Amino acid sequence: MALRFYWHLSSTAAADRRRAEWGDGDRPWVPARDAGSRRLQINHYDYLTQVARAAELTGFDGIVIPDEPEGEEPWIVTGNLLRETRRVQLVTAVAPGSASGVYHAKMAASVQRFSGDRQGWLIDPRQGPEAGDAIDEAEVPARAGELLTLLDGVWGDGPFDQEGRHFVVEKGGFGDLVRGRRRPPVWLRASQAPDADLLAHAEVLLLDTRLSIEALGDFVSGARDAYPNLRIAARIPLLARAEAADVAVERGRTAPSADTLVGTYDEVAATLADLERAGLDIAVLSATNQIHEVHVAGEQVIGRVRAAAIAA
Amino acid sequence: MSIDFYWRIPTHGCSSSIRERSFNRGDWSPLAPGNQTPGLVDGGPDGTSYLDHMAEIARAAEISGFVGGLLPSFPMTDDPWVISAALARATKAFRFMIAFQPGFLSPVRAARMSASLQRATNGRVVYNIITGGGGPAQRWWGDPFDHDDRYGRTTEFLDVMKGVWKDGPYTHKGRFYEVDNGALPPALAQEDLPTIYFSGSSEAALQSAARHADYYLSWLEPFGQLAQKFDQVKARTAELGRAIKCAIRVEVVARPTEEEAWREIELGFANVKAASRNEFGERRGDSVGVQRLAGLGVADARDWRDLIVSPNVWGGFSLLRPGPALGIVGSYENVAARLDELIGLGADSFILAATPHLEEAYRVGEEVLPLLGHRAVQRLEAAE
Repeated sequence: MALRFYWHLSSTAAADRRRAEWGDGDRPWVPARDAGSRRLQINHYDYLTQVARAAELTGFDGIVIPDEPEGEEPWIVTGNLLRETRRVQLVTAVAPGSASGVYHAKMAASVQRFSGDRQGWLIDPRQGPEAGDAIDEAEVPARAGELLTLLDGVWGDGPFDQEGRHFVVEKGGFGDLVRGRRRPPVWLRASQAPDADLLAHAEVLLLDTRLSIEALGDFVSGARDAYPNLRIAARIPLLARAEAADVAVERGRTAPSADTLVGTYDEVAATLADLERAGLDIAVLSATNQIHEVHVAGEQVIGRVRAAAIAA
Repeated sequence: MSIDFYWRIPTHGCSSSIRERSFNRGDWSPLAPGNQTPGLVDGGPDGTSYLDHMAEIARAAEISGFVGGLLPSFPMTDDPWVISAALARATKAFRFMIAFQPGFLSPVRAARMSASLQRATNGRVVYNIITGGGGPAQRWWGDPFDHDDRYGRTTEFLDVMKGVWKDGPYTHKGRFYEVDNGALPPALAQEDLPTIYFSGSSEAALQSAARHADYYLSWLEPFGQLAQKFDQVKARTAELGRAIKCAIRVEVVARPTEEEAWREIELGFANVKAASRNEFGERRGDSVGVQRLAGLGVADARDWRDLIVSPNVWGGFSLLRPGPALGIVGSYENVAARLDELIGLGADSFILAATPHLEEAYRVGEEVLPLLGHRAVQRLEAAE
């Protein structure tokens, strides 16, 4: 299958925080207020929606909606986007400790019903005590496993029973609510080193370790060999410009991290084609100043990768 | 004092008529004469879903003057959080009253979701906190706690949710929840806490309501019984140091004449099968609210007139659709008069509903609500 492209939709990136009302007060002008209302009529979701639509209009296959402690809550972003987009997959970060297992599955049922089965789950297994998630480290994989077993179990007629250490269900099952609906495909993070029990529930393994771009190719081919039945995704920060001189200017301005894919449009497209040959299925691209960079990535990079594939 | 009128969004399909006990609006029933089945054209998906119909109901409600709508949450309904987030941009003024049980979400997550949703809606989130009906449904949801435990948890949940939102970094080590220096990021923390509608009829519920609720929400009960309950709630919460308002959730059948309204009931009752009556008779769970309505004899009624509880109040709505038994039936003037009466007995807010929810939002908004208060005014004028 051809390489798929997803956009990592951040709600906290510095350049983007200035957009809509997020940076209210930090900049010389803010969007117009309704005369009769204290509240802004333009808000941050207008901006996030526009980034997602831009991704859809420039050929992305999906959006990853991360759980950033300083950002918007991912289920609310997902709900907001499902009606504002038509085609892109919506991969929502799911924290097993933040809701009951049945409730997570129940919210997913509505997202699938309303979006035409476009949701996926990216498991963030542990949040920490500041989020009220005071679980023992040793219990973290077992809890994620219980959640995914529960998701499979209630996604049908049941009766599904679970007497877990973290989740309990009696005679569960969603029946008509999910009939004909796809259970959200599950993404696991490679950085969490998921064991075989967890991987048995997953469709996608996300390589999210910060590696140099040079090392990433080996990492992808290693993952491909180890998990032949999983789709392999990689998170790839992107800095692409038309000419080498433009790249140099931008590199000087932003000092990209070592895991950033930097280069001209042709160079980054060639690297992505190499990664595809190494076994990569999904590239999750990211950059700040998203409304600009989504267009760069969609029009220039995805366009080149796909045109080259057709030419070959 | 102004009275807030909310509408209801049917979150598990709707029916085109109160006469039929079927959800022929929504994708729940197969294609049949009179069945809308959004999402299907010529047997294939058409890109719409039941969400689009709910969007139209919400728009009808805001166009007709309702401040918002209740989004109920049951095992077979769609989810209120997802619906609200999805309809934030499809509506302008409509407030989303989200029904949820504290056992569903961690309090920190609830704070983040709510503050994010406040931002997405420009401050239109309202809570309907439910502590759960108990019984098999509670365990279906994956919630093993008993009745009074659940109210203890509700109180603690709201303590933590508010603490993290407004008093962060917030630390708490309680019976149900533990948080260490929890807080929302500044942009989320500046959002207002949602107004809280609170349901529950037991003493455990009242103690929790007194601490956190803005509105005490009840189904319609016989008027005298309801007035007494409102008095008790207001007195008990005053003892506990807080003022609380009262709200009523009630279905109405309003028609130009009283005869036409009762005819809807007569036809609806005629369509009820014996099996449905027995289903109602089978009471499950530990809800005190359900037990309070148990003496009405709904399961035994053989004639719709047997279920008239008082003028314009009919006790058989639970036969026509899932939900509470009592509703108001009558001419536009009758319904307005009963609502006025309830305001006189202490109601500060209403959640109204009628089937079909889309068209009836217009009817009730245009024909009934403008009549409220007029009887009192007219009486005064006559006296002069």
